[in-house]
Amino acid sequence: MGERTIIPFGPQHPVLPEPLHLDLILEDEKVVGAVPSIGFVHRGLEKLVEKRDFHEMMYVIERVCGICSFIHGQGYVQTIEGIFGLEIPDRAKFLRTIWAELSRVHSHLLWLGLMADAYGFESLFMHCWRVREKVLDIFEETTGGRVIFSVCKVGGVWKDIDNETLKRIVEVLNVVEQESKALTDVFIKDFTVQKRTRGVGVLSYQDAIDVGAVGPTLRGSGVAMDLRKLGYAAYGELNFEPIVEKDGDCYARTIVRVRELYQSIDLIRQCVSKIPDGEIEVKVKGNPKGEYVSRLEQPRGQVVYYGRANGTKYLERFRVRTPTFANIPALLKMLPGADLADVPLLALTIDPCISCTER
Amino acid sequence: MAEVQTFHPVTGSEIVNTAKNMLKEGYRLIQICCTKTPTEMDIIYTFEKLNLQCENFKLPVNVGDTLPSISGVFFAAFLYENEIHDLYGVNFTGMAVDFKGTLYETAVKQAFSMTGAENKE
Amino acid sequence: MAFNVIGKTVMKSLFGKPATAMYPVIKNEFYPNTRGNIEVAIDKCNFCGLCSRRCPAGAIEVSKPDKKWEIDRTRCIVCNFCVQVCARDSLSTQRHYTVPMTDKSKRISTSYGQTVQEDA
Repeated sequence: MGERTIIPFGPQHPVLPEPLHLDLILEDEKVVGAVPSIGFVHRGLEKLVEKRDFHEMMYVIERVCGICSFIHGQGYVQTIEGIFGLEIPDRAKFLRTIWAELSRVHSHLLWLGLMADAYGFESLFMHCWRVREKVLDIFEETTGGRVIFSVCKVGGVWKDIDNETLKRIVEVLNVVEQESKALTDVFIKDFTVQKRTRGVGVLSYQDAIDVGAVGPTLRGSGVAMDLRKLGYAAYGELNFEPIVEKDGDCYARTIVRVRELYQSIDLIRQCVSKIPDGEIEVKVKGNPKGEYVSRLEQPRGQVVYYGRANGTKYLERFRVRTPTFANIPALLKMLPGADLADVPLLALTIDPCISCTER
Repeated sequence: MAEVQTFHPVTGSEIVNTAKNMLKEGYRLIQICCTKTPTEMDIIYTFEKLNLQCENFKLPVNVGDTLPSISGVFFAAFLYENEIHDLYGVNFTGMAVDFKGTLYETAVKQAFSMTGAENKE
Repeated sequence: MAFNVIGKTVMKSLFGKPATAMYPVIKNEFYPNTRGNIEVAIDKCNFCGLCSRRCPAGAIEVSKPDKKWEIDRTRCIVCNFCVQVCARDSLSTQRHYTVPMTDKSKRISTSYGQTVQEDA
């Protein structure tokens, strides 16, 4: 029984440039407890909803996060459409799905790069981001922005992708898939990587459910839960199954993301082959009145939006519950029993995005 | 899309028992959200099953009220409750981890308890 | 097998083209859709002020009596919303980005119209 020490972890660049702070309670080298603190970058974007009308707010909500910006925008417009009871055209649904899945590809590649960086595979990190660059180029070509797309609108999308470009996207993705195969083999098979990740930070099936983990963290513990199965946007017409790994350790969470990367590419191929022609937006008349909870699957996990409108052009409340917010308790469950040296890796496997957690 | 969502009413004294019932039925907590409008204020608890079925509970509340925490039932609730405490000034008793108002250190205390309409004067 | 993978990567890195762009020598080509900055065709504009009311960042100032249309480049988030709401199609998104600046205290804004007031 050693002496207890408290070591502060973060908030200055813990493993990734996000202000996550943990007070780690250590007994010798083992973590026995942790207290998180967030709140370093609280921006109060949710409050802005009272001063911007509901069309403008789309552009603000997108800026909650720089990685899943598209899905934040999509969630916002889905909430407003839910309040209106609006049905958007099929082509708009498919376009949204394509952009959302492209976001997942780029987010997972980004995360894999950071993961490689966390265990010191510097060049693997750069290779991951080199491949990701191709996806960002697709974004710039189709939406005009590399990070913030601003293509969603209440009632549809602003921009169409013509069928030629869609075909070219699939061709680019074939290259992306081929190039990532060589990279992801390292994450799956490399001896050193497995030494660092296997059996570290195990989150059991029951714990994952109890603490409310979401996304790859949850699926890495063997729970087959994927919000895309709700069938929002065009997911109802696509053929896919949630990706599940049983072990619940860092390795399992990595593998879930690796497999989701290929699943997303496959989903985009399905979208391109099934996308119907037609309108991309419907006219929105009047102001929303009512309340609505909408749930979506982001690359990091489930995201929950709540909107309330009172019939004026300003919403009364819009709330974003981001995946990291739900995964912080899961992180606290994983940490006890881990070595101090594994803490950065563990913190990274929930894919924390603190700026979007605090909004 | 656009299914009708119901918000079951619930009171402050019932909320812990409601949470226990939801846990028994296999639900898990996915969010607690506080809303303040010029006329009313309430807290929404959203629970979700593994088959993606979702239930909402609405609890009317006022600034300065004290509610029992449900973090004994759902551990994850402590973050939401601290957030509501810091931004809306609703107190919770028995939180699993109590930050005592230091989760969000805003320049204006209870920044969200003022609505835009009231702020404008 | 592992040797094959690493060997391929090494060969590619040694003899392949660099992954990065040779930036100052070869300028990056933007796509037709790229949102760089907002420009106004001032002769088409009737100074209705719709763009300034709809701007989420509050970057646009329009004054009807002065016939002035002004945009603050440091505030503008190039979301394209003003372009989409403009009833007379006088606004457009250009491909080039706003030039970088070293001093934020001077407002970098561009004015159009009869009374031209350049702040910077």
